Amino acid sequence: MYNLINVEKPSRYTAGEFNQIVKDHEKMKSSVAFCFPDTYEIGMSHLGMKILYHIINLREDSVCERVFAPWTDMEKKMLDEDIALFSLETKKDLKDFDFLAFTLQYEMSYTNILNMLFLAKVPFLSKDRRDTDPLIMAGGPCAVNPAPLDEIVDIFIIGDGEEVINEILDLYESLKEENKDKEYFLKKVSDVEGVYVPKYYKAKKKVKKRLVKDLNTVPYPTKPIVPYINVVHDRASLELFRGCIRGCRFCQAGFTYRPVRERSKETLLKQTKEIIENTGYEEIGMLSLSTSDYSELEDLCTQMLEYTQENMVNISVPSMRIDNFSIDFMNKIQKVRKSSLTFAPEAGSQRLRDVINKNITEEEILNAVELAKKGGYEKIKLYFMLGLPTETDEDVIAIADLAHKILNKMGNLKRASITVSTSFFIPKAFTPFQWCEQISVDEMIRKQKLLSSHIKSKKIKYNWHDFNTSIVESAISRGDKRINKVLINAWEEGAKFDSWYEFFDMSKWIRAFEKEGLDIYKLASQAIALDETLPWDFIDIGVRKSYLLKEYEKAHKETTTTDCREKCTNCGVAKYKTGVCFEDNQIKV
Amino acid sequence: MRALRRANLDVAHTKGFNPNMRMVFALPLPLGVTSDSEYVDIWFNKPYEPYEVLEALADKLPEGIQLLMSFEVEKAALMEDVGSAIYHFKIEENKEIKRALDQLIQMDEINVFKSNKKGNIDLLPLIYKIDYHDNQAFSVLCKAGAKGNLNPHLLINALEMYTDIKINVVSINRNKLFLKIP
Repeated sequence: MYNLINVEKPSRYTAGEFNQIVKDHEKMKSSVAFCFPDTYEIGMSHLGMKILYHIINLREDSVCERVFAPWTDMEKKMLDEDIALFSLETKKDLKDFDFLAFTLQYEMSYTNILNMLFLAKVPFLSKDRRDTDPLIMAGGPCAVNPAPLDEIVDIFIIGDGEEVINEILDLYESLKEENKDKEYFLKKVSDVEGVYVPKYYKAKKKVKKRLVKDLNTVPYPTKPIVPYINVVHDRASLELFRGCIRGCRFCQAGFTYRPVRERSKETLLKQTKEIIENTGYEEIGMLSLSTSDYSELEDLCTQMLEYTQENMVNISVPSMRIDNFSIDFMNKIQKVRKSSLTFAPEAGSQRLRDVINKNITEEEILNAVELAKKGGYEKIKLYFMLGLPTETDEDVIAIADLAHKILNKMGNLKRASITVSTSFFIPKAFTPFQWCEQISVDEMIRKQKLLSSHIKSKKIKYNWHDFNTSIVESAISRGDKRINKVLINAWEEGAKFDSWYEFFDMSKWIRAFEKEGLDIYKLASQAIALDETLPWDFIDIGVRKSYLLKEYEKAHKETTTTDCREKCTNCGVAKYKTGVCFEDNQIKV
Repeated sequence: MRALRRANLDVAHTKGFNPNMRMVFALPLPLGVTSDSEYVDIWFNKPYEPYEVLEALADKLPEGIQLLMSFEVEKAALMEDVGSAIYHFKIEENKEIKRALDQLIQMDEINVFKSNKKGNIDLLPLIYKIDYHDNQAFSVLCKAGAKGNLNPHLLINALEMYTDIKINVVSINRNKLFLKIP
């Protein structure tokens, strides 16, 4: 252990945290190494990992251990001393696990998957792996387009993993008892709903997304591991609901996680108490895509406060809409210092907000600012996207105008300050904008400059996002199977930790695409013909393609769509017969 | 601190904008050093019997940490009271180690660069005694606490710098902490 003294943050690799689960591998029928392709601090903040770690370890005969991408100093040490990548709990070689399960949270982590396989001495391509090698599993939000990794990953899980992981492990364990090999298992597991095995995919059948119908009945990790070092979200997490009623047309999660399914207030209060007692955390965070849309929010907050105040626990609430209730609530939970408030109008003009279906008006934004000001907030952060479909220069300038109007609203406040941040629109699979182009590099630079030149006040700070990573992300996220080779090329060029600006190197990616005869800029920016077959068409996410197309057309007519609670617009996901689609008197299919 | 919260003990908090638990460790353990015994002062809002604290924390601490003993003190001032410590070094077999230790201790001063703070520090006045055990182990009795403290990693640095040997440390353990004699 002492020889870790010279690597940064040795606790990333030592484990032994409170609530970790250690099992005897000799007594197990199946073993899963859950691999998060980024650092310990990021991975340990991730709820999906906590959920699956908990569910697999609830099984008497299965074990799940954690693995994170080693930082470059540790990687060097491992290569110098010929140490293969190992799991945290028992320091077992990854090669000796039955499954390596990767979570696909963002495309820029894909090279880290390859790097972890390399460090584990596992061949990259499915076809090069033998029966003694582990099976590679992958799931998570980016798995909805599996094509870019379909020569590397053996088993994709599409949708919620809670139930399907048990079915997969049950099958594996029973076949293992019959002495069947991994190849036979792969063939069989391809019949499980929500599972996509590229090798045994039968072209006529669509792969249907898995979905947990009732979040109150699936196990939830109320005894999560408590890290020794600071992690990004160093607090207990409470998942209010899955999915989003809003339908912003650029947002992948908004479509792929449909329909909205809530946990009951009673479940959440019970889980709060359990987590706090089991961890000793001094803060609990409410998680969801849009906290304000939780149907019993006021009751939940009031009752949570009773418990948290008595036990000296803070509550953190991201993505809360600003209204009288939330300002009052936030004053109650943040007694001490008022941090900044964040708004994400995404577009500056009403016209463009209608195009993207971000149903918030300027008046509503300014009213919210007024409330924030009364509530004692002096700093406002604003998030926008540049390069959205149909965007004109007027729309870009409207961002600066909106920021100035907000500043005026803050008026006499001496320390008022506004931060405007922009990122670039990235077309994503299973959104109404999946066919749209991403603007060219020249346009990206021009629009940033245009916006910057219209920001006149010194109290408004403008931060912009690097455009190169947006280009790579665009090219990968809508990519087809040619991306497999591109990723390997990029890794060979030395690409890893691409979401870390100190490591990202665009020239490596340009060469990686060139080697396959591809132009990264062209791929990233191309508009796709509406009648073209898409690499992800064989995945059934629940939302019909014809619905996405209808939304695409409405966007171009600048028409908005109501949210799921106001009125059902029949996207197709009601076939799962659960969630918001069946609240009160919604339209059914 | 989270263990104390898990144990549901009524710990006193500091006043001010960011209330923190009132708890002070006698001497922080350097990164990568193991220890046989550590000491901590904790202030409570209500009078607990020492055994109650021991019981409440029994299954709330992470693996490898055990609360061995607890007792009430009149005045909590551990940090000021710490005076010295014994560190035990295990190294890979090294025939030169005895010579190197002798050589080091006979120097007029042992200047090493302190990376986190500015400037150099002389280790010699901090070292009371070095015991050579064999070619794989030695221990050091040294000054510890707020007024002068030997960092065991710096001692290794000094050995390599002034005696021209390469040491592969296997482990460093803090065997004991001593309070100053009043």
